[in-house]
Amino acid sequence: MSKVVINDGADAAERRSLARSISSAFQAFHASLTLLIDPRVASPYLIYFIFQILLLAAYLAGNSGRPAHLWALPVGGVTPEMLGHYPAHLLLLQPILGRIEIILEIFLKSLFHGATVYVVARAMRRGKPSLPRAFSAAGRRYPHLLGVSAISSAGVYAAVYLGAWLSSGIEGPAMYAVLGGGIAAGLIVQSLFVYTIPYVMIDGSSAPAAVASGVSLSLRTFMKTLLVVALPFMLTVPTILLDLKAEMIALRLSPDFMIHNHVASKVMELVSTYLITASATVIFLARKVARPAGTSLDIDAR
Amino acid sequence: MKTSEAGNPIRTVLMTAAAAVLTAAIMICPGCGSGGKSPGYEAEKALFEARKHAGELTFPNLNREFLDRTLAAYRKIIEDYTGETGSIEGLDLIVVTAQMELAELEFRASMFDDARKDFLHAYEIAGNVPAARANALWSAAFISRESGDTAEALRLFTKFHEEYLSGEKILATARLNRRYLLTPIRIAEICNVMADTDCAGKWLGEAEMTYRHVIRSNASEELRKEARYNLVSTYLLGEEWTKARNTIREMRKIYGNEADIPSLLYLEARVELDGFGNRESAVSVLDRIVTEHPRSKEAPTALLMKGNIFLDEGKYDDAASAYNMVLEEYGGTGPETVEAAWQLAILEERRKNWIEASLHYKSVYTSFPTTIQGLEAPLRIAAHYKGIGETEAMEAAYERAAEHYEHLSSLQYSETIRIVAEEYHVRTLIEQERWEEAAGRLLALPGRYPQYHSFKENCLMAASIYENRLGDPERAAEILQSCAARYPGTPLAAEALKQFERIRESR
Repeated sequence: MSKVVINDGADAAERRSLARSISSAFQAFHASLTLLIDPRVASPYLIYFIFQILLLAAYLAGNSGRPAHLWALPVGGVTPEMLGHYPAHLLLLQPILGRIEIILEIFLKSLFHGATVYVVARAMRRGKPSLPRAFSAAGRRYPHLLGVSAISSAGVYAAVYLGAWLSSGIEGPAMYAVLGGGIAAGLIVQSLFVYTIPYVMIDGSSAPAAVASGVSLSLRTFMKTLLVVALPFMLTVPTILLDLKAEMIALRLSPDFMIHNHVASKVMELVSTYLITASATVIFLARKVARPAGTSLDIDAR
Repeated sequence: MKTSEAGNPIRTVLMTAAAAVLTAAIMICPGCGSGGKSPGYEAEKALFEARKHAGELTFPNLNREFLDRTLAAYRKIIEDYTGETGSIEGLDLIVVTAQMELAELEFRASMFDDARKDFLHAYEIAGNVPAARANALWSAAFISRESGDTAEALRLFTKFHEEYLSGEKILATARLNRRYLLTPIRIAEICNVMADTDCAGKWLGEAEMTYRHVIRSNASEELRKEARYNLVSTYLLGEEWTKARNTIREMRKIYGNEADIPSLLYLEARVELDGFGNRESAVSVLDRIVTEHPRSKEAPTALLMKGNIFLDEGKYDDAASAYNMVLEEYGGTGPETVEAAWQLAILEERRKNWIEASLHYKSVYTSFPTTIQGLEAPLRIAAHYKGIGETEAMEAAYERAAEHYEHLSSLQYSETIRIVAEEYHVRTLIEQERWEEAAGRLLALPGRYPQYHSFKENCLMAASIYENRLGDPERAAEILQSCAARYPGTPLAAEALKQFERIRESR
């Protein structure tokens, strides 16, 4: 029977040294970026990005009639008539598409996470990443991908919204501290679940097993994992800060700023999500000894 | 090229490129969010842009280039969408809003003729927007009055009264804007300006009836209080002093709180002084304001009024004490401080204490240069030296005054200040009898301030200077002819041509 060999000695050494954790995290980033020499590695997320842009285009084009009724559904208090007015239509872009993307993040993006893990793993093993195969593999594992995505997304949103809820009614630096605390908690939760998709896609684990193993692995490599999640997240900080003041800036500058800000935040999200997923997969695979070819867990065989 | 099962790298690259192109297109395409939108949406967008331009205008230091851009944006909305108002729901409101905002902007930019014209146009098109329609008509009447067109002001205020303040419409109109209640008083004031006492009496009677109707009604307490204040104003304007005093005393009983009492006491003091000529009683009421309500905004005004009463009586020490109290207790940059300093200068001049007086005048124009007292002070100093025949000191004082006005005409000051300073500069040259320079300056001002309509009439004054002071009727005729050609079809052109004909016939 084949075995997965975990390199616990290296984990212990990294736990004792922050420098080693940082070094390992940067090695993972470097490996993830090197993999981009084959552009197909980034393709699943690029496809998702194009989908997000098409969603934006559909929102901008359909602000009256039946489409307006559909757009008004996700946000309470928004009526279809409001979307027929300027600048309300553009100012409501952020909350409406934001709500829709929360749902898509769980139900659709999990498929793209799975496909990305697949192509990254193939590329690392010097195989040829195939998008149809990647999506086919992710499709087969969809219920488990959906399970782990739902749990991790719920955890992250709960942490961030708790911060936002606690910060409401507070002003000045204290508000930013509480809000920042919520985001930091969200990052920690995200790092706890970051290996669940590699467990589902590479090890073929079920969702509960992937959560248990993923959290366990994350805790063993906590600092390195947190860095792998937090550093790419920093790329999105400028657009998050702009989001906080987007309405005010749009009213002063131009309501079209809402479109530009949305696209910019999606570009940053694309880069950051790729780095997190690819680096987590790199770390995950680096800790294993490859299984013999032809076994059920040999990723190259799929 | 063979397409393997593993996927085609070219396809992936093409997809990447397509994503990048799409992103770039959306990022750089301005207004692509509104492509193919309804006319209502486009109109709202145009109105938003016009408002954004208007928000960038900083009054009173107005940038003319920005103003023209903003006015053009509003005019384009009106031009583009007026034809569609009947067929598209909500479009009429956008067009009326643009028309009203255009007129308000023109008013703020001192373009009074254009503002009045545009308010009247708003009145005509705002049939479905009653609040805007009323505002447009009242504003047009107000501008007419402010720009000295009393006949038009009378016509428009009367029209407003007929349409909005007759019968049962009073309360609904007052709820739109309380200032509309002032309409009959405004009409009576215009009648007074036209020396038509019957007209004034009729409208004061109308005003009394209107305010009594509101007081008796079930309108809000705030509105009824406003009506009572207006009733007092009606009695003051009609010089019905006893009625005014009784109404004020009645109001003091009704509105016994801190906020109203000082203003009511001040009104009572004015009635005692202007109506009954009772100085002692007026001073006693004014003292009550200062001692019982020292932090009220009426307290420094009461002190000034008290000082003026003593000054008129020749009680200079008492007057100086009141003015100095304003400076010590309520000092700052407020109008009361300027007025107190100015009155102290006048007081010292009356005392024949010129050194002290000139120091006060100098302090007024150096500390408060942009106030009317600050503009007046240098000429008062020059007038003093002229009065006592000290030619050298007088010339030096006029030079300093000219420098002062030259400085205030510079771009660092608002256009309003610059215009008033220019007028004072011309006055300085006229007082010095430097006629040619005065005429030259008068003729240059309309070009420098094209929006300020009063300067257009400078040609008449310049022609008069050439004809009567410089003995050059030919140049005067030339100026009048050019003035008529520049403003054809206006009352100014008619007057210029009349003067031109007179000069030509006399030659």
